[in-house]
Amino acid sequence: MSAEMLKGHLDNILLAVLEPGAAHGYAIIEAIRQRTGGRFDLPEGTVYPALHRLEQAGLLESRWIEPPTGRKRRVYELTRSGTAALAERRASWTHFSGAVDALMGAAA
Amino acid sequence: MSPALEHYLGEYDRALAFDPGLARRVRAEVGAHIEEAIEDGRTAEEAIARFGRASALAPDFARAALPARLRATLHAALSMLAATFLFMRLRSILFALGQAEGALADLLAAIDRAGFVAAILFGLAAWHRVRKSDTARASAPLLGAAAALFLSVAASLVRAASVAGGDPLIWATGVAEFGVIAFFVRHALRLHRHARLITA
Repeated sequence: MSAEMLKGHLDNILLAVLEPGAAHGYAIIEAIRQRTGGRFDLPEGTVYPALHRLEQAGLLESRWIEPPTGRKRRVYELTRSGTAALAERRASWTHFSGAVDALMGAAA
Repeated sequence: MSPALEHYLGEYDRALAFDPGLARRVRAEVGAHIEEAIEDGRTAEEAIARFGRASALAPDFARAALPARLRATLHAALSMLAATFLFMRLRSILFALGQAEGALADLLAAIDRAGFVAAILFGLAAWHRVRKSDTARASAPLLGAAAALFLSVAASLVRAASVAGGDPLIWATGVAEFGVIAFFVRHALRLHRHARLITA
C-alpha cells in the first residue's frame, strides 16, 4: 500500500495499535509492521506528528517513563475519548469496507 | 550520540526554535527512536533516512502543535484586553478622569476609547483569519491590536498624569499594562513563526 494511501488511515491505525495498552513510538511502528506482515511499512517519522495530533485532540495521552535499565521514552495510551472514537471509527470502517468489498470483489 | 544524529536533531531545534518546549520534546522523542534503531543494528545514517527528512517532518510537528499555540495566543489576547480595561477603569475612577476638561483632555479620551475599540476590531479580524485557516496572516491584525492598545494606554496615562500629576499608581498601572502588551506581542510573533513554518 502506498504511503499516501496509508496516511489517510494513519489515525485509525494508531488508535487500533494502542488499544491493547500503552506503547512508545518505536514499539508502535514495530507493531504496525508485525501485525500487517510488513505490508504497512510507514516512513517512521510520520507516526510521531500523528501521535502529537491525536494527543492534542484528546484521544491519546502521553508521559515520559524511565525504566531502571534502559532509555527514557515517551509512551502513549488511549484516553476514554480515544477508546470511544476507536469503536466509532471501527464500526464506520467495517460498514465502508463491506460496501467496497461488495463492489470490488464481485465478479462481473 | 553520533555526529550525524546530532546534526539531524539540530535541524529540528532550528526549525522549531519558536517553541522551545516543542523543540525539546521532538528532540527527545526523535533521538530516542533513532538510538533504538541503531541498537537494533542500523547505522545512524540508515536510521535517519528511514525516519524522514527533518525539513518535511518539522512542519508536521508544528501543525500538530498549532491548536495549543492558538489557545495560548487567545489567552494572552484576552489577558491583555482584560488587564488594559481594568487598569484604565481603575485610573478613571481613582483620578476622576471623566471630569477633566479642555481640548487636550477630550483628544486623549478619544484616542483612549478609539484605541481600545480598534484593538477589539483587529482582534476580531485575526480571529476571522484563523477560522478561515489563514493563520499565517493572522499575526498582522494581532500586532495591530497590540499597537492600538499601546496607543490607548499611552493616551490614558498622559490623561491621568495631566490630572493627578506624578502619582506612582499611574506609572505602576502603566508598567503593568505595557508588560501585558509586550507578553502578547511575544505570543503573536511566535504564532507568526509557527504558521510560517507550516505554510512554507
